[in-house]
Amino acid sequence: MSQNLSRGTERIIKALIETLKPRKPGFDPAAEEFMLQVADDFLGALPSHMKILFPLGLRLLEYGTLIFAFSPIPFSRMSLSKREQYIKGWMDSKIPLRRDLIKGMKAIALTGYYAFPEVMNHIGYNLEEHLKRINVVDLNTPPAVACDAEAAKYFREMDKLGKWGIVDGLPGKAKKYFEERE
Amino acid sequence: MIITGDQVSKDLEEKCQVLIIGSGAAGGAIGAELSEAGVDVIILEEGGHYTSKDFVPDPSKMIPMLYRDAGTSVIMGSPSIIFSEGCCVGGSTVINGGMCWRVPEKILKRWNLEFGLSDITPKELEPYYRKVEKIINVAPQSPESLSKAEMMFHRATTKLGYLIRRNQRNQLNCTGEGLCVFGCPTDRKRSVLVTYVPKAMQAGARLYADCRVTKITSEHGRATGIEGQIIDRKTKKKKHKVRIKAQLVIVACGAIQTPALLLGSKLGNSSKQVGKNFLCHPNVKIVGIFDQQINYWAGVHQAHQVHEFLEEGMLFALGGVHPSLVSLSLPGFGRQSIELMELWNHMVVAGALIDDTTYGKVIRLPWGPPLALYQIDDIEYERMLRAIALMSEIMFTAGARKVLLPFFHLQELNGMDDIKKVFSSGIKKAEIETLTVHAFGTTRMCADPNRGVVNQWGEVNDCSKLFVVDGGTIPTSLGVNPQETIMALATRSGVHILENKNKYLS
Ligand SMILES: Cc1cc2nc3c(=O)[nH]c(=O)nc-3n(C[C@H](O)[C@H](O)[C@H](O)COP(=O)(O)OP(=O)(O)OC[C@H]3O[C@@H](n4cnc5c(N)ncnc54)[C@H](O)[C@@H]3O)c2cc1C
Repeated sequence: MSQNLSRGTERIIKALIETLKPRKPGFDPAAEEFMLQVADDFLGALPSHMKILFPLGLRLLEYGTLIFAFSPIPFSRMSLSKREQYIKGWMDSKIPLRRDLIKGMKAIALTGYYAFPEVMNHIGYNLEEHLKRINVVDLNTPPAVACDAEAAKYFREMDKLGKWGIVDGLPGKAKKYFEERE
Repeated sequence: MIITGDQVSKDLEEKCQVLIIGSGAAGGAIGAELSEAGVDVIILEEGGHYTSKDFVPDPSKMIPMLYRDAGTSVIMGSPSIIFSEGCCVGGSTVINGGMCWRVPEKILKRWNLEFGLSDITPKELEPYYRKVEKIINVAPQSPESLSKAEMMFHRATTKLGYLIRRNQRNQLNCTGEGLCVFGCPTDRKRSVLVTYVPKAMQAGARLYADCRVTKITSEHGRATGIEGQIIDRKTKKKKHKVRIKAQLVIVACGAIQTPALLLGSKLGNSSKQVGKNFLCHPNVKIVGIFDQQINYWAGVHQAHQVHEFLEEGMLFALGGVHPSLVSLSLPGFGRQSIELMELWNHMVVAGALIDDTTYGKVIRLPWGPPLALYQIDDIEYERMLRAIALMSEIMFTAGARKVLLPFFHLQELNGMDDIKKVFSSGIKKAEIETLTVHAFGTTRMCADPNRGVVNQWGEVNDCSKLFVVDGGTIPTSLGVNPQETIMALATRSGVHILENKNKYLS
């Protein structure tokens, strides 16, 4: 049950999620509830003017079908394939504002999706495993495990050869502030 | 002592010697400097107080929690620029990438020549930088903490003969979790939250979190304190009124929030420069796709920077973020999105920081919040295209088979020979996707009070007992990451106040 979305806004966001949701034959996790929850949390954290503007933008998407798709049927009541076409129209629009608006909506809809455990697992983002592997020392001890053995070996070698790169000094080609001059 | 909003049960009235608004890079540094010298300090922070125990690698939780406006801030222009800043105890340092650089010497020369800031020399800044570097533990990364992507980046740039520098970062024994932008879960990134704030608290300062300042009060051209609100962390609505009287008020809300607060308080603007001269280091990024598996997120990101083109206004680094955030900048949705993201472990993201050559401005909306406006100019546009071309060259040299671009039309390159398309495809400014995390200039330092808002110490020109010390006081683009310079300048202001106690704290 969303806390920050009106019924109308929730209906449009649900339709948006259904349309934008990344999926393909053989992979379509049930992430909709989670995505809606994330969208709800984000909307709750928006500043007051955005809390007004964002639902207005959603209404433009909902009823813009009349102008942009010559259809009297609002976005949330269109068939999925019509909605997909309509969203593509927004993404490819020559009007930057339309593109920006849909980007914002994509952000609200997709942030949750790629943070959904099943999805992270599917794309191979095994962060937990990585964290468990490397966090074996306390704060005051240098890291004991290489994040990537090949990289660690390469940089140790570079260091030995003096080819890793300058550490101290000012940005760019300059060296230290004073040493050259004093 | 840190007091959070839920611990305050009625309207609040307080008194102190120095009141600091904002607990980020600048507010934290000056807060510790003053309180350790025995000054009675209160720090007010609009965001919540969280610790590493609260930090989880989930953007859907961390962004609404730690980022202002849940990360939806936008700098208006064509293209609009996505802007991120922190809103929590520790400010943007809690979510930043931890890269630390001193200001290039040529920038200080410019400050002297154009803004009369002749006292801010490398020699003058040296002790402040040194102090900051010690407190936040500025150090290079260990080989163990680095990802395969950093190795490929280093190899490719070296092969191309470009100058690559090791980044020093404010970290202690970083193990390479790559989670800096969601708050470091192990405190290895030494943000203000775990360095300056505890120092100030130990010295007796009081910090109110969830406390938004709405107005700086003044009498006869002299700042006297603030009015504000304790806000509900979830709804952001006002819970209680806050009034604090202070002998000295220091504003450290960041270059976007501070001008709105000054304008709303009708202070500091006799030069009409408050909110003007806004600079933001617009960024562009690309995604390289490789045949081999890289897992670029496994290890620290931004361990190196390419400084070969720094003098030409471009700086490159790798940027590791969460798939949620990468997916937003990739084209399409539905099947196209998942098929691209299935290449997640084969991706490497690189970004370019562009040195500003124009100014924007920050205005105050009638109901209070700021609105930033910035129109990238032709030089920046050229630099963006060049940066994208050069980063693509690095990616292909590293072995990428494809590079995804931040353009609306031209969305990918499939090899070195394609790079020229970046210039020949007629990309319009509005079609470039840009973002930034830096902001300067809106309350700039200048010896001439008609051209700036504060003097070299951060003292507001036309209002006594009022200082501004945040990124907004930096008068020019730095071309490099700013946190260390912001902290060093704030420390310097703190020392100046302590050396002139009779003037400021009586
Ligand atoms: C994602 C990200 C990555 C970055 N990476 C790097 C990097 O690698 N290296 C680097 O040098 N820099 C980096 N930066 C930039 C750097 O962190 C900032 O430039 C620096 O922290 C700015 O310092 P500040 O004191 O001006 O503002 P901030 O650190 O942003 O602090 C301002 C504080 O004031 C509070 N505040 C604002 N208005 C009010 C009000 N009205 N009442 C009460 N409190 C208020 C805010 O909530 C905030 O906590 C990064 C920034 C971000 C967001």
